[in-house]
Amino acid sequence: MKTIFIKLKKNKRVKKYFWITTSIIFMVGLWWILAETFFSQTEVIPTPIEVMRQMGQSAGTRMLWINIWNTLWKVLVTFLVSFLLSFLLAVLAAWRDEARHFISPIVTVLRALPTIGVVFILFMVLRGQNIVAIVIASLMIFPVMYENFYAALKEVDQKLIQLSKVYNISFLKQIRVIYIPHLMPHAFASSIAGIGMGLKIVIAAEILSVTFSNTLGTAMVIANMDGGGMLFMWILVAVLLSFVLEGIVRLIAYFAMPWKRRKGGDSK
Amino acid sequence: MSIAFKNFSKVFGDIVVFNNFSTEFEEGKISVIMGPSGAGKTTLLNAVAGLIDYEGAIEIDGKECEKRCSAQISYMFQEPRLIPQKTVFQNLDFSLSTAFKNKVERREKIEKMLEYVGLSDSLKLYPHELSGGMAQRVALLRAFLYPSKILLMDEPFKGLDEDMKKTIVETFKSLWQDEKRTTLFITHDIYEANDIGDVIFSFPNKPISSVLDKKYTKTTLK
Repeated sequence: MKTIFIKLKKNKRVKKYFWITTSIIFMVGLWWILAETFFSQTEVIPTPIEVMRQMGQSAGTRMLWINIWNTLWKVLVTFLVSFLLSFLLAVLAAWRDEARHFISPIVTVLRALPTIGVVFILFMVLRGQNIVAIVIASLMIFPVMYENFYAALKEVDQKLIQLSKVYNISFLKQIRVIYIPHLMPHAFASSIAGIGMGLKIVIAAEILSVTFSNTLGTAMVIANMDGGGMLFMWILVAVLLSFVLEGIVRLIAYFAMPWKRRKGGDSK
Repeated sequence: MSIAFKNFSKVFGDIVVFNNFSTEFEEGKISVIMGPSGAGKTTLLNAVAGLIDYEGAIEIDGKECEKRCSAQISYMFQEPRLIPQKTVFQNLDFSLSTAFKNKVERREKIEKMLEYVGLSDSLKLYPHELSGGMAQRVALLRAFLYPSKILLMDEPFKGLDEDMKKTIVETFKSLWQDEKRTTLFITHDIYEANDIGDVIFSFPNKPISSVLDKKYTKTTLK
């Protein structure tokens, strides 16, 4: 026991994983207590064991994976559209004041848009569940990513640009060596936030514009109508999917930014 | 290469920093520029490096620089200005890439220079892993690695402790002796100026016009 505490004090990595594990145990514990006490008479919140059993059964069925894929591809399309659009417009805004002044009110309006109201309008206009989910999620994620990219572009160290001028470095090389490495942490942070938000909004749009399709949103609506603990299982599937997507982005970030892996490189 | 300023004028907003200023800095000498903060010392170096617009003319070896001086210039700034996401090698390679197209040649030059100043072990380190003195030495190497005829140095040893400063000054002297480049060196430290400079210029108060007020040789100060 004493050795564990010494390791905890000295090793930052051990400390980090200790607290992450503690947090997960806390959440599962709280869930279990709630399921066994306040919600024991209802089936709204089943116990973790019950959900695991349901997941185990569903994992063997094709339907679970079809539902995940039909939601996932929309999240990925949404993410790509928002990423590219926000990046290009942020470059334009950082480059020309006119563009920034033009884009700024649009971003403000998009940020204030009520998701549910817009889903109803879009569904009346566009009809298709897929396109509604992609459009609404893109509209919601875009302002967050745009502002991240714009702030990052404005933060590029102009002293390094001066240095490049002194040594006659081409603009393309400046982009490759100065701009892209500088933008990387911001791009990865935006991606993590964007994918998480995207998944939530796509599912919300699927729920609000429900049609006869196999998606996580539709599965949640059906589970809700059926009663029982399946709704909670689908929620957990969405959370796990978000974890996996975030994990993939973090893994790419780990290999793409070697300087971050060095001691003290976190702030760079 | 000599550097001559002819009727050089520079205004920042309402502040006239230089007004028809003319002077010449000799070839192959270290010209130290001293003067109060905000006097325009850095402006002078930035103008030579082509980083700012100005009126009048700057001549390198009697040839007027058009928009930018065509002569190859090295500039050591007050701070190391290393790219935080690149290793020491990548930082040095970045500035050398326009001068030497061959990658192998660049690597050889960088490795040789790092070995010369005892920084071989730092090749794969990132700037945040270097001490202030080490980072400034890398910046010094960058300036000397680049095949320039003109070397601009803007208070390069500012903020370093005495021991580190001594080490870097010695490194600088030995590198400079190997290849005597026309150097403009800004400092506030009279001892450093006397130790390093061949000629010392003192900036008067603004606006600076005509020839610099005072020009000392090392012997005058001693």
